[in-house]
Amino acid sequence: MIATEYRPMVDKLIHLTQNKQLNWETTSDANKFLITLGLNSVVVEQFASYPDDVSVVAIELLNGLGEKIDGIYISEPDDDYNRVFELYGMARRNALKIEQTISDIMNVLNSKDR
Amino acid sequence: MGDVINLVCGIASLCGVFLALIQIQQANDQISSVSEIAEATKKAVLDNKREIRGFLSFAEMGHLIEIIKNTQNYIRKKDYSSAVILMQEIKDDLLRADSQFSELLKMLDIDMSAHIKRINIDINSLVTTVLQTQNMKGTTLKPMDIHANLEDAREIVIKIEQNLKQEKV
Repeated sequence: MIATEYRPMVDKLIHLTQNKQLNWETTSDANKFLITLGLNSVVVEQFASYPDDVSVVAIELLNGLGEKIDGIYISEPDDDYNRVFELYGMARRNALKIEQTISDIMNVLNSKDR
Repeated sequence: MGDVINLVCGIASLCGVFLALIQIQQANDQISSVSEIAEATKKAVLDNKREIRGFLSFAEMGHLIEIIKNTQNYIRKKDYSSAVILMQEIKDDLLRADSQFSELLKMLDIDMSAHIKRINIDINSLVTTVLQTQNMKGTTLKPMDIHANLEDAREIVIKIEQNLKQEKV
């Protein structure tokens, strides 16, 4: 369950990422993505819990020095899991510039097809 | 006559005892004064150490560059536990450099807090990886990203060091 104070933030992050108004960044962990908002940052991460191997999405708040100050951890099959996993997927695609890459590949393929 | 001698001896003996007591008292005073001086010296040394700890000296900067290089070697060798310990030290020193050389960093257009943030995130990623490895799980760590972030930090410290050398000249 997403904590009440986090819900509007998660919704806003999804909305703005969807509208390409946010630029997520990659980190030293392939499953962890970062967005810097003012002095603070938000990290979205997906991992499998131990030992039950259940998929978990973490949304963590970092202060200006990158220190974790709080976070929520939503695991499958929580009602909100799909919502936070949607955010994780969007952040990942945004940070890795997947749409841009597909578009570039398509341009090359189209040019060869002419 | 004998009584007079006895009286003189008694008085002399009393005086001797009295003088001995005074000397013992003086010795005691000296001992406590020495221990007070020792205590005060210890406190002054500690205060001084704390003060020195607050500033990053020229020698410490060279040491920091070495620590960063060693950490990069640990990352290459996949010795992540050792890397985490050194990265905590690097983070502390970068924090000190950030406050000590804020003007210089501004002049060089370096956002040290962004680099400290990266180091902190890398520390968390490494800790997670160490735990995952202990649990015999696969890892999603990108060691070369950590290596690159450390290289950025090393270049910043070198820049600060070079500027300080120029100032000295």
